[in-house]
Amino acid sequence: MSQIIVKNLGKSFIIPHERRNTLKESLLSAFKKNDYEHYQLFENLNFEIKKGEFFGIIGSNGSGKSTLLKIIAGILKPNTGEIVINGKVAPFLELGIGFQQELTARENIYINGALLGLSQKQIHQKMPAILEFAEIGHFLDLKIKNFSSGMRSRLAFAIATQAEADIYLCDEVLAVGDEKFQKKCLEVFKKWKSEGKTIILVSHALDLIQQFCSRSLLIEKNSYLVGESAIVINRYLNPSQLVGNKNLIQDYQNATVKITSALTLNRDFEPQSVFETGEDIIFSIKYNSSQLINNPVFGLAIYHEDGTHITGPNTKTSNFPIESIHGNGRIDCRLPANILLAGRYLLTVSCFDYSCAYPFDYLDKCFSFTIIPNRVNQYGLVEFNLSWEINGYD
Amino acid sequence: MKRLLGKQDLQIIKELVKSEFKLRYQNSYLGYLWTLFKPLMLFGVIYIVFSIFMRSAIPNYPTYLLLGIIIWNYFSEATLIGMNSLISRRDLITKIYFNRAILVIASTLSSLITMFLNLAVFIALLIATQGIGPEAFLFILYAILLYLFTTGITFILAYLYIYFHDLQHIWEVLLQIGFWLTPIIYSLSIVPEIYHRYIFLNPLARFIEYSRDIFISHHLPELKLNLVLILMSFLTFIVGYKLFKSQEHTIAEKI
Repeated sequence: MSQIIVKNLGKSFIIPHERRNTLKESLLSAFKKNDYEHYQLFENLNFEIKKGEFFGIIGSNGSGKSTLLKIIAGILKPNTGEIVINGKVAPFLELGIGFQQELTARENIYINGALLGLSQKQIHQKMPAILEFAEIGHFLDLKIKNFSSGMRSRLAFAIATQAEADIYLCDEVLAVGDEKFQKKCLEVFKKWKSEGKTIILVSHALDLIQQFCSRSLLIEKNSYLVGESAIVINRYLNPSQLVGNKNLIQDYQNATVKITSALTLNRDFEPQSVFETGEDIIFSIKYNSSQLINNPVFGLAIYHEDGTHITGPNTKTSNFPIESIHGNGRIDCRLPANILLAGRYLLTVSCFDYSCAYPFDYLDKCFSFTIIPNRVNQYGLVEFNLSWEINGYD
Repeated sequence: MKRLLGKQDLQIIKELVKSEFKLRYQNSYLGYLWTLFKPLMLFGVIYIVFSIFMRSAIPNYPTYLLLGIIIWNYFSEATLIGMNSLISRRDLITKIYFNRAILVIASTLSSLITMFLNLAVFIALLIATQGIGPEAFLFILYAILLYLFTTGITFILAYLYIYFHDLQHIWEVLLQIGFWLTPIIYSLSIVPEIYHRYIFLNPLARFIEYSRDIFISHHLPELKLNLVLILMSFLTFIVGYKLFKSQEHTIAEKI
């Protein structure tokens, strides 16, 4: 079932060359023509979001991501086209909207809750859950202006998670807060996912989109792309490269083997995108092969964020021959006790034929993971397992 | 016709009015007394000038004047604060989808509560000096009509204020003129008869005159006059509301 259907959607803004904000100005220049231009954000946008889907929206600043979200929420009206929405949309885009600095947390919970569509009774019932999530217990009667920004965002998110809706819209929710808070947010996302809620996530955090959203929308000036998150993110990160290799990419799209996802897992095979130096990392590649392929080769490449190519193993060089693949499958590559130091790393995933000359699928730097230090004073990109010894004195 | 306000809308209005009240009064020791101070100050000055210096012969002048000032003060305060109600909650309008009319309705409602608090002072004065009759209960109807009329005007002002940022100054001037063209401090008896019909085109003149009838003169205005006032109030509210609603979807973009 489709939860949201977007048909031929277009939105433009009128930008007058001269802004008239007062009655005086309007009267004085009543007979003067005010030139204006149309700023077309996007047009002929067509896509569908299925029930229970996590859908990502990415694009550079000013490309219209937030505007699209506002149209879905009903705040703005599109100029052309329409949106069909089946179900209740949570009406908020950002956290902590309408917080009154001068009022206490308790008072703000009631106002905010009402704006999110909760009745007084419901807010009453949900109060313990809100307080537990926000961890503000004994500050309940403190004015919001005295809250730290972290407390404020925890409180805001705690209220937002209580809104009862089928569709949630999140605009850069995780941009604020410390690691612990972000972890909490991720737990809520997982909960929503298990409850079959539909979520639309606008974010610059591509790891997050990669981890949670099966499909994504990339909006760029006058063009857009909807598809599997990996491909869409790849296109976003490497626009120039893709223009050059256009034919190649099209070949991939009709390829017999397609990489459907690649995830980084921890040693317990749980998805995780942040690791410590020394932790085990498992790269898990899911593929779909539309026909029987003999002796395929799967490859990985790890790049530092700055583009430095650190390593590039594949199943052939690692002496792990694969006889054949057909249908859906998963192949994992275990990196025990990684030696990478703090930083963000990009991952390329590919599948070649045995000669390694012809790629079935090649997703260049479209996945990422982050390494955080396990102690201070570490220098460089990697830390080898080495030892020192003193062999004599002068 | 769709329902004017849903259950959830009422819930939001309640919370907004509650918070506006707390915000208005919590930051000063005198709190509510400050709101009372303004009309009482005006009342004091006018009373001295007209009753003592100019020896106005209006019977029961203190209650006569105070009632007029309280009703006028409601209209001017509710429209001035209310026209700001959209712009001051820009954060809500651009980020959450909800019935925008709520903001205007909640704002004029907060002012209405202030009017009732002021009215309590008036009624205490009335009972102490002249006594009160059962006719006074009709004021409940007038208060509802006054609220509808004021909110109808505020809908239009709040919408226009988004486009014209100088509207507040213009409106302040118009209120000043209105104050003198409405029989608040003077009695209609000093106005030549031929002008009465023009004065009664102003619903506020009717609200004030009819309220004086029921509170001070202890007699009920004719049914016909009440019907005219009902018609004027409902018409203003409906026109204001419809205009606001027809443009509601553009507010988030223009604000």
